[in-house]
Amino acid sequence: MNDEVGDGEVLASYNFAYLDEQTKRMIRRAILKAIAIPGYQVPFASREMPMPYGWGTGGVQVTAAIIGPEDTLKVIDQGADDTTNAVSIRAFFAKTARVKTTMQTGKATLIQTRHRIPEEALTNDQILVYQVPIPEPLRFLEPRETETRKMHGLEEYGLMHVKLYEDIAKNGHIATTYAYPVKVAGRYVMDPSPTPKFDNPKMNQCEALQLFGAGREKRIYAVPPYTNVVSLDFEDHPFEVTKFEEPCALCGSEGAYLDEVILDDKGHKMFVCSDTDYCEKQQRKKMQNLGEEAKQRAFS
Amino acid sequence: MMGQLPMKDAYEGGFENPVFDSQNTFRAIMKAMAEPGLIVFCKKMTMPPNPLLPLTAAAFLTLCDEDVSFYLANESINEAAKNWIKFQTGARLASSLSEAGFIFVDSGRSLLNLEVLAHGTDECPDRSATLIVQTNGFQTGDEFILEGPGIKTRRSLFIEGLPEGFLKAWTKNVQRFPCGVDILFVSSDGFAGLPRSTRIVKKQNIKRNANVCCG
Ligand SMILES: [Zn+2]
Repeated sequence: MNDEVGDGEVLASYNFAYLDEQTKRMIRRAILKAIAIPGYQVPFASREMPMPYGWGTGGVQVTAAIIGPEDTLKVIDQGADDTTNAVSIRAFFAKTARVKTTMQTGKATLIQTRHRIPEEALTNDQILVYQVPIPEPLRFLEPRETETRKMHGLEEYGLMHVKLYEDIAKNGHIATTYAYPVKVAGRYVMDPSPTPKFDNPKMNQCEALQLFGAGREKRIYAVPPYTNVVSLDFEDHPFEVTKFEEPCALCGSEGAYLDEVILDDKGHKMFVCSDTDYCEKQQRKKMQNLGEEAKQRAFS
Repeated sequence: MMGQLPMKDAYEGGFENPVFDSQNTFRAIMKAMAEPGLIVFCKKMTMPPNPLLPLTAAAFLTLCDEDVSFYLANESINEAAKNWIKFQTGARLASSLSEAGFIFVDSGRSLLNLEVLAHGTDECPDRSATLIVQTNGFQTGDEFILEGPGIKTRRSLFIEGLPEGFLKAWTKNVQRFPCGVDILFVSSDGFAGLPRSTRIVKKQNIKRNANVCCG
């Protein structure tokens, strides 16, 4: 169908948000089932997208099935809005769905992400869509889908605990730092993959709806708002969030997730926030505070 | 004569803008299912034949197509409504209640026998039925206190016209989790979701205005 646009330009004949309506309906049905059974992986008939697997085709399909003209979209990859992956997905929806886009967490209604959950607490009016490469948390223990299905069905998660405990035996602590398994609403073990375990606590009782799309593996799963998401652990070895020894070199934040940045070939490096929007906001705040202080000093 | 009139009705009254109207409807339904018991308002975008409410029709248009089957649970249902859903969505009419993916219920009268509906298996709990249940509104009627995923502490939901044994039937449905059926309640202007993960912790008959939020 061709749409007349105000300036007389005729839009190319693609579907709104790329997907055809039948595909959207199929994905929408899967999303509702995923919401009704928190943490359970619903199979869906993943479509070819105009980008390779590994570029977030699962997340893109979920976003395409829910996005509307009134949304404001933010896309992040490793916390940053300006990486190739994030830029191309944002451009994709700006073109095919003509939605507003933003880099500011607080202004987005829909956030598609790979690897990170924004530092700024999400609200009840927002939806977070994760791009997931490997949705099955039990896959490395059991390669057969028929078996992992049974294990989830019977709530047989003993092996998972054994694996974590082997970590402890080997390292003295649980060494898993990414894709750290969680239990959702007291029932399903779920892979928050591939976010760092630093972000796991943000999933718990999160105010935003969280949707997960795995394109190659053809799975959709969900965590409704205000749902318990508990990182697996042991009484004598409780779950611990990664702590960083120094504050962000740019904004001075303590308690944000930091990336290591190599400065030169002599091995100098610094640690900065991985969430670029958050870091910029903190830097502005810092500058404002410095300005206020200078003003106060000048007038006192 | 040969019943041409109902056929004429069948191809009228659908979405004017299928792409955007179904997206809009879906977001309302998704919000309702993600936050059980919350009344999510949605504008009327369809004109279906009786007894289908505009939002019921919108839900069918948004969720159903050739890939799914539907069933009309009430005997009183007229051919016009059946033909309308069939024509507008392309969904198959299921041969029995237990095979249907989507089930229409006009007022809650036949809402007691949830066990006979498709409720999935332990390994594939998603192979289950969704009930689309019309109510006279969310302002009066029995008050249900809900708990579960999507609800911060507890939420109260008023539903008019549910049968006496509903609480018992729903409790059984919840006990079957992760198997079970999900309910989408529909009124003249809003949706309220009751997915299988939602527990009804209390039912009372106090007449009071329901809390209404969101849009
Ligand atoms: Zn920073």
